[in-house]
Amino acid sequence: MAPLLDEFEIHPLSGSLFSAGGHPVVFTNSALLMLLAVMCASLLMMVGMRRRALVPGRFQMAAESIYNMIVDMVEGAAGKHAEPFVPFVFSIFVFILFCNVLGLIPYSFTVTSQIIVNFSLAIFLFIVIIITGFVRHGVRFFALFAPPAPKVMLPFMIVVEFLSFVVRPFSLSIRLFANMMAGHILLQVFAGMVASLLAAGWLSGFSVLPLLADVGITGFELFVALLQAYIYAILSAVYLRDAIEMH
Amino acid sequence: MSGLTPKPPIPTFRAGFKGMTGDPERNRLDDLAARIDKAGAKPAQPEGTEAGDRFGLAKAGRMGFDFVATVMVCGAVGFLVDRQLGTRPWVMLGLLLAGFVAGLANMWRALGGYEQGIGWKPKAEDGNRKTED
Repeated sequence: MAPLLDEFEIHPLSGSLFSAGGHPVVFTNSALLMLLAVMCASLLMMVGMRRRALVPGRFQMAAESIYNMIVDMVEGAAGKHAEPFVPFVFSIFVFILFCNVLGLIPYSFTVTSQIIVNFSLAIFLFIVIIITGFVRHGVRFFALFAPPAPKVMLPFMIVVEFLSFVVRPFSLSIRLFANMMAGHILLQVFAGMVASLLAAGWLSGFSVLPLLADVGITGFELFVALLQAYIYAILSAVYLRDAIEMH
Repeated sequence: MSGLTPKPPIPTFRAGFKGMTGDPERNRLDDLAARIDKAGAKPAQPEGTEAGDRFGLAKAGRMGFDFVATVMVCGAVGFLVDRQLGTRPWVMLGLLLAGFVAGLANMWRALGGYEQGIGWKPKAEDGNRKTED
């Protein structure tokens, strides 16, 4: 059985391109899959919007429904004034969606199973939120951490609210990472069971059971890939709401 | 639309223009528009569902996770701070406790329909619920 975590390993596909801060920068399989995800997303949008037909074809339908879903979602979760952020949330959603789905292809690599990728996206989101908050509300943005509460409780409430805010990028990135990693490990464990059972003499007939389970789990993982991209996007919108409209 | 006869020139707009009833293409399009409108009409949302939260599963999935993640992140940060300052285990214990409280508060807030915003804001589109009840 192949070592369980092999598929999450990053390995270089090129030599050192240039060095940044004393570290060599190389093109890795992770970078390749990210590039592919961006290309697939751009392709879907460009092909989908090429004809702009009144009666949409398949690709136009797909592109339009994703767009409409994000617009509805941002408006519902972040309020009416959130319109400028639709492209931002849309990009996050489509990028994560394609990374998740491309990762399901055998022998490819799941970018979103790397916590640092998710964390970079989340930190970027939070920089946007903080800047938006200060631009829109100035120093009053700090009032976010002071909910209406009795004076005695206020210090505790401020600590609690501050922690809630700080923890968000972490929970956002850990959730996506844990979901993707767990799903892929599960797939591999069942695939390993197929292999072990095939080599187990008279028990080999039972190997069809984990195989069937793997087929089912693959379908479920496709659902998880969609759902996690959706959760990431809707939480981005929900968090943006704090910066856009305060009390 | 390859099987159709070549389109007649589009008529210019006039006051009182109601669509040329004699134009089959135009009729087809009007009919299509009506059918699209009918198909796209949203069913009335049941009372109490959150707008913008299509999958209830999405909400359920993040509820428990947020709580655990809050406690774990606080504990980890506390551990690192302790190691730097040599104050083991006090900062970690304090942050774990605070993380527990924050996680519970967030869960309570999300369940109470305040969504996930920070601060006990009035409920969306309701306006008259100010603080916790």
